[in-house]
Amino acid sequence: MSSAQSQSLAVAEAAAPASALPRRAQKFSARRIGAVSWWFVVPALAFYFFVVLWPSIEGGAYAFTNWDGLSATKDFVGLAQFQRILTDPAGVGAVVHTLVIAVAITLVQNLVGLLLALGVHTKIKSRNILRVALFTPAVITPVATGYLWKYLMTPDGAINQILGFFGLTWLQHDWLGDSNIALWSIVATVVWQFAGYSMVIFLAGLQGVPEDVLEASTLDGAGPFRRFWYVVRPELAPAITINLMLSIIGGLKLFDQVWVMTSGGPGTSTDTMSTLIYKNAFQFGDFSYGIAMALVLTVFVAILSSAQYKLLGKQGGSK
Amino acid sequence: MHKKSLLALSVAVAAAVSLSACAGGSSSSSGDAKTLTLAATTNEKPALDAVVAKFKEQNPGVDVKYTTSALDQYQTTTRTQLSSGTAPDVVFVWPGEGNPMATQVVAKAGYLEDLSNQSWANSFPSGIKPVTQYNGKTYSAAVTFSGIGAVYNMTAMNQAGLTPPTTWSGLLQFCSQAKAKGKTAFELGAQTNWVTQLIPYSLTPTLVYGPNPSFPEDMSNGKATFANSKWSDAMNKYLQMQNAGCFQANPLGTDYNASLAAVAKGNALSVIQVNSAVAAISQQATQGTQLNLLPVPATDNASDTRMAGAAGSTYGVNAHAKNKDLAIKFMNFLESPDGMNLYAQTNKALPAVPNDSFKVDPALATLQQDQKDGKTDAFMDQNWPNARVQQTLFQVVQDLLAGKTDISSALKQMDSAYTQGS
Repeated sequence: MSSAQSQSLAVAEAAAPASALPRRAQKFSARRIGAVSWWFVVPALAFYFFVVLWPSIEGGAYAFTNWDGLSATKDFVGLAQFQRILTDPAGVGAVVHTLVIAVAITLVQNLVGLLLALGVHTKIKSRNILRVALFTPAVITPVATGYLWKYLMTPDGAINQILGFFGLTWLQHDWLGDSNIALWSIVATVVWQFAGYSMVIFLAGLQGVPEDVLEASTLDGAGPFRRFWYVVRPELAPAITINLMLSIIGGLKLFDQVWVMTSGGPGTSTDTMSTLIYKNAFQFGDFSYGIAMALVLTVFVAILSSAQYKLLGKQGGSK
Repeated sequence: MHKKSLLALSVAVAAAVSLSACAGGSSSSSGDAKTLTLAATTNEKPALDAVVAKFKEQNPGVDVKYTTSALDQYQTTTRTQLSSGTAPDVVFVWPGEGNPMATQVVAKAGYLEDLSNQSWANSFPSGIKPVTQYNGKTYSAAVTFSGIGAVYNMTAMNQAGLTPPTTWSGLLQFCSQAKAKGKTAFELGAQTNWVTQLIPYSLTPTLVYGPNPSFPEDMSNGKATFANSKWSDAMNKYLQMQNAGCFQANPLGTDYNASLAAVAKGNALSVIQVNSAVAAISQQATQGTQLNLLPVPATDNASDTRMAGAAGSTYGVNAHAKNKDLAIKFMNFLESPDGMNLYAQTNKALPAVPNDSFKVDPALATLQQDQKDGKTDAFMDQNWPNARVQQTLFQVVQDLLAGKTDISSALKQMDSAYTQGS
């Protein structure tokens, strides 16, 4: 058999409908394809194991020691570092701030992202330029965004100057120096950066909404709100799920912007679990305690995000 | 084994091997005998530029590769490098103990070379020697002597018709006079957390450490605490300064750079800072601007006034240095009068070991005189048992300025941090 003939036979065999093959051959073929597929996954799995899993496991083990991050010696201390977390007053504050940030970012970022997506999912001429412009902040590194907004939010910065220019002096604030509003200033910065990111995901969902169904609902007399609620929203459910999941995980892990803009201050008013982990591990020389906090945060994120996924999944969010 | 499986396995093993190499880091960097590696904080860069150039000039064929980074980043990176065996030959360290990269912390972990045999090891003045040592052996070399005080823009002061205060009452009066002239008396960049400590550091030599030189030992022995000491007076005076309008409107929203810029422009008349701020302000101010670093009065008796003055820029040799001989040679150069004076001159500091050939910057003349007269006390954190105390001080001062805590609770938090790592 020539090689061309054998190739065309193989292609024909692959293209043949499964039902045309005997049952045993079908099972064998599926098993063989499955086995071969696994080999294709091995490089990626190996990469994931050596770059993510193994360092994480090895690092996580330090939480059960008293290593200071520098000394050659370390002793096994069991769960002592985890017990410290329960009695650390700074830890409680950080958990509260982390939750506030995560909830606020999740709600506001997705609401703004959805409104932007609905706005640019129209036939206006500049929609493509608007989409690019609104997405652009998401490609800037969070550290750069933090520095940019820190500069804009200084007492003599652009925001207060603009407010003053429009006679809104009563709105001028020490945005990052006032411990009552510093946390919200950080939330605003994160929303500014990632609302465009949520918008893109919503936009992808909106493009899957069938035009004929929308037209039919319009003919049936549904107004814009009813059309959104009963036709668009169910179709957007997967986009909502993924957006909520990404933003809540991002909010719980938030570090860069907080560190750059306030370093957790004034005082501890913007300390999050991530900044506290950093401080303990690298500034206080209490590395193993920092790792223990990081493990708790990981479990925290996993529980919250999987609970949210299941909840939304039950409502048809994971189509 | 099946041919395809074999191929896939080979790919997997190759990937795993290459990734293992990645995970091991780039510790195999070369260490040829003519190349010295060094790392320090960004503040040290101008001085390093000068001394490295001079060292290379004196040692033809020698190359010095040095990196500088911001304080937080430096501490994090260098600790990681030391523990993973990839640190440079010479590292910047802090004197004493109360810092993650302090001499005694790093020496205790076994990462600093014992330098006790070097000729200069015993030449440090009594105020500096203990903070370069661990267990009686010398592990670091102090190059400069630094001080904390008020850096006055004398040009702006003259224009406003004001003179630096020498008593506490005079200081409060100075604040109101400056305010009347539309100027800030003391610009405070309290958004940058380490800046928050400088006012207590400038007041406690007069209030705490001068009257009771054994206060650090008393604390260490459990006989004294922050809460039950004159530290409360210092914190009270900090708040008095805030209430008297000594600072600008939003100190917690102002960072270090902005505070120096305000003094350089003459919008503020002074800033309480480390002597290195003299150089930083000079660079930003118009040519000919006169600056002066002076002690901050804390009582109404001018002769009581002392300054915080201590070992400043300090270096150690990595115990696992690839080029230990060259590293020690560089340290010997730094500790020579030529090297030390060049370093101090460039960084607007004083040499750690006073010598007659050093030409003092007029802005630092008072610091030099106080050093000679023994009217200086070591930076407080150099005698604290762990890094948590200093970090707690940063936090409680911000809380105090924001009205979120009171002095008693603030000092109790510091006491608690002190005992945690003792």
